[in-house]
Amino acid sequence: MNKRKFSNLYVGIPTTLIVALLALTFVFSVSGQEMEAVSGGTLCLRTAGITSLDPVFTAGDPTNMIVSQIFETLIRTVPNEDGSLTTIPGLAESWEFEEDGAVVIFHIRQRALYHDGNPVFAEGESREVVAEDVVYSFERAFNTVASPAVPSDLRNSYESIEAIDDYTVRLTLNGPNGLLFAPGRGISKMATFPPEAIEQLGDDFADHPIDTGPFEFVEYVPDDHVILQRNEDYYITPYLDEVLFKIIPDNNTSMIALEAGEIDHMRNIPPLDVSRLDESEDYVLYRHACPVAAQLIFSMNNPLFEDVRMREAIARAVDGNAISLAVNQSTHADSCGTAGPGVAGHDPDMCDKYFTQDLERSMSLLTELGYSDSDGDGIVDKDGESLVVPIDSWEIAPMPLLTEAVVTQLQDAGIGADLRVAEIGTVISYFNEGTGDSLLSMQGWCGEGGTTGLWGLGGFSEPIGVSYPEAQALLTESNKMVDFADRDAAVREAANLLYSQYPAIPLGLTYFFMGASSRVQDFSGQYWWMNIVIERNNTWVEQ
Amino acid sequence: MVTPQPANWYLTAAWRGLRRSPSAQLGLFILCSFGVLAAGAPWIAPHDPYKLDLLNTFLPPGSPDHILGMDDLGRDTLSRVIYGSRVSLLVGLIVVGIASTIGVSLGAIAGFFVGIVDNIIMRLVDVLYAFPFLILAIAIAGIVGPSLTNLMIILGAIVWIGYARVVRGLVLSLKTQDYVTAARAMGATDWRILTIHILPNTVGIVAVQMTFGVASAILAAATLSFLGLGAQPPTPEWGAMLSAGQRVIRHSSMLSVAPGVAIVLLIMAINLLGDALRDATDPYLSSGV
Repeated sequence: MNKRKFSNLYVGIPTTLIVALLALTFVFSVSGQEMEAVSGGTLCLRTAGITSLDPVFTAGDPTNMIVSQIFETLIRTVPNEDGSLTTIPGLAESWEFEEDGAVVIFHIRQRALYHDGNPVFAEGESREVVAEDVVYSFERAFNTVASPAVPSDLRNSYESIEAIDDYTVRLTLNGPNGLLFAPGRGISKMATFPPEAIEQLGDDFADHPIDTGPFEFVEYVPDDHVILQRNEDYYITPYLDEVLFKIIPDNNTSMIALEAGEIDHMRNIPPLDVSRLDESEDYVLYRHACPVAAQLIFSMNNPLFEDVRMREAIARAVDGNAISLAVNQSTHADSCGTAGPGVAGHDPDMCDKYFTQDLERSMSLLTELGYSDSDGDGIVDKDGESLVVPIDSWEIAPMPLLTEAVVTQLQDAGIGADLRVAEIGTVISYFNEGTGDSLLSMQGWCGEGGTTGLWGLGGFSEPIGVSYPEAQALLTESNKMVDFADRDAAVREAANLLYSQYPAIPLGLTYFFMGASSRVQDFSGQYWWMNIVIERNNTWVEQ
Repeated sequence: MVTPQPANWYLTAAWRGLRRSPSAQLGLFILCSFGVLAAGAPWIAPHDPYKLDLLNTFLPPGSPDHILGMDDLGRDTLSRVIYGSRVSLLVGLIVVGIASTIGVSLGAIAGFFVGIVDNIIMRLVDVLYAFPFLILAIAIAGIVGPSLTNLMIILGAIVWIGYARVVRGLVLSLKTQDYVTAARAMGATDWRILTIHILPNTVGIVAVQMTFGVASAILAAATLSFLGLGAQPPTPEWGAMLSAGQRVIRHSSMLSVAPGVAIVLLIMAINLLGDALRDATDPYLSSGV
């Protein structure tokens, strides 16, 4: 080593150390700061399937999550850190109640412009929303039979809506409605749209949805994807350039896509993956505000289910919570009925009262009804005909697996079962059109008003002949109760009246989780109506 | 032109082919093994394939008493695979039974009577051939509803066209043979000529076709069950098990591997056997021409 090299070493080492120290200081200082939002990029979400992009006909949360980006509602609800929900402005900047809550005055946002560059509004030729548009939109939804946008609690309490001036709307109800702003109920899914779009496009409106939401519709390729782009005229400028919804029906395929980075977000993380994702730093999990009930609902269109003893015999043959625990694992919540813990109407004793698995009682009820296993094939029969219960399940997990276990438990109890697994739309149509005549396996109706939505007057189960007037009257009355404790007591009483008549077999409750890549920032996990850009958050994606 | 052979010639040729071919022997061994499993399932399967053990779901392979583990409802995987062989073999045999009965009958009638009858039958065959087999099966299953019985009827009602074409061609050729002319000269009726003198001579070729037909039917049934259009849960059918297994493949690969391997083995066995039968009963191949 010569002298020059030696001196270079003396100069070089400290210099390298200083540079390294500075670099480390920079890295640590950057990581300690909160990241700044970056404008641009695409948020890619998975949706399980699409029903209709016309909000009056939109059924199911997988489509709601798309529609809620294009369309604006008067109000939005956002989850708080403690799991409670807060109502924030949407199209309505503010509102006030009059006449003890029977009248609500909404003050709608000025300069809320409809999307342009579409078949109705040419580029730069849009117009602002006026109160008459809100009135038109509400009336169109109310005049549509069984519109999923109009939950039974709202339909039963609605009287009229009128425009007071260009920016003020008066909604009149037949009394206060405790569910008016509840997510999934009340006016939470009542979107506004331009009347000229409906008149000009007719049924094609679903192919060219137009409104004032934070993202504009660009393209829908059936069974593949939906693309939305930033609405530059929205009152909050979205950070995201685009939102892409990839249509992936299967949860497990979606899970693979999420972990491969092909999508940034998905609803309904499979229960087996929840713990693993929760422990990973690469993902953020959002728990649904309320646990969702899985139930097998007896269609009263089938004479086999007319006698309450038959319904109880079938229900008593099944251990719903044990099945749900095995299938849903850590996401399972032990309960019976529609309302879960924390929701008005939840009865922690419901399982013990009506739904304990009791094979002896089941068999004694069947014997009362004249059934016995006369041919020794393990299935009871009457007049030479075996008792076989027809069951229809939709194909979305976990219902097929839950129902498969039910079939086995029924067969173990001497009750035959014929299970058919069908696409979700088909099973929903059995309810909506009243054509189902089987034991219908479904999952849903969590949260405030869920019991009313499923069992109340004009509820989801009404078309299949489920009618318990005393309980339904109580549910209608409960909607008017603004105080939670009062509503809780009333719905619980109604639920007991209902479930003592065995209209369904409860299969426990499940907490749904949605998962997002940790690249997704300022995102508020919300089921029902999804909030990507609202007053509280403006989602962006780390580049 | 088809050279008629005595009926027992095919049996002798088949036996000779089987003895000469190790792969055919392997195929026969595997097929017989599945046959034994299917027939003796209640005695061979270690557990009830439907029995739930909800507290022991996803037991891994190699667990005591559950060599292939347990599935997502705590059912013994090995027992379900063993019982699955019953369903698969039953489907294969019934579908081929239905298809060959329809196909041989219509093919024989078309080939023997020609003219308008032949035209009607063969145009129907052409129409059915124009549809992709699986798409047609899915469409019909979608209309009549998914079930194992419907699946067998649907497959039988579609795959008969292959038998009809083969038998028609054979009958067209055989009916010009001297022995048929002789029978006609002796006053034999059409029915007698067809059933006594012609059809027995198609047996060898139809038998080979049936062998491959069983394999195709089992595979088609597994495919349709995988798509949810065949056997319905909780029936232990390999295609349905494969479909259920792929939902949890990252947690328990055995639930997909076990029925998958069973399907591969059975189809391979039948095809090996079919290949040997075809080679042995083909006069050109067997005579070294």
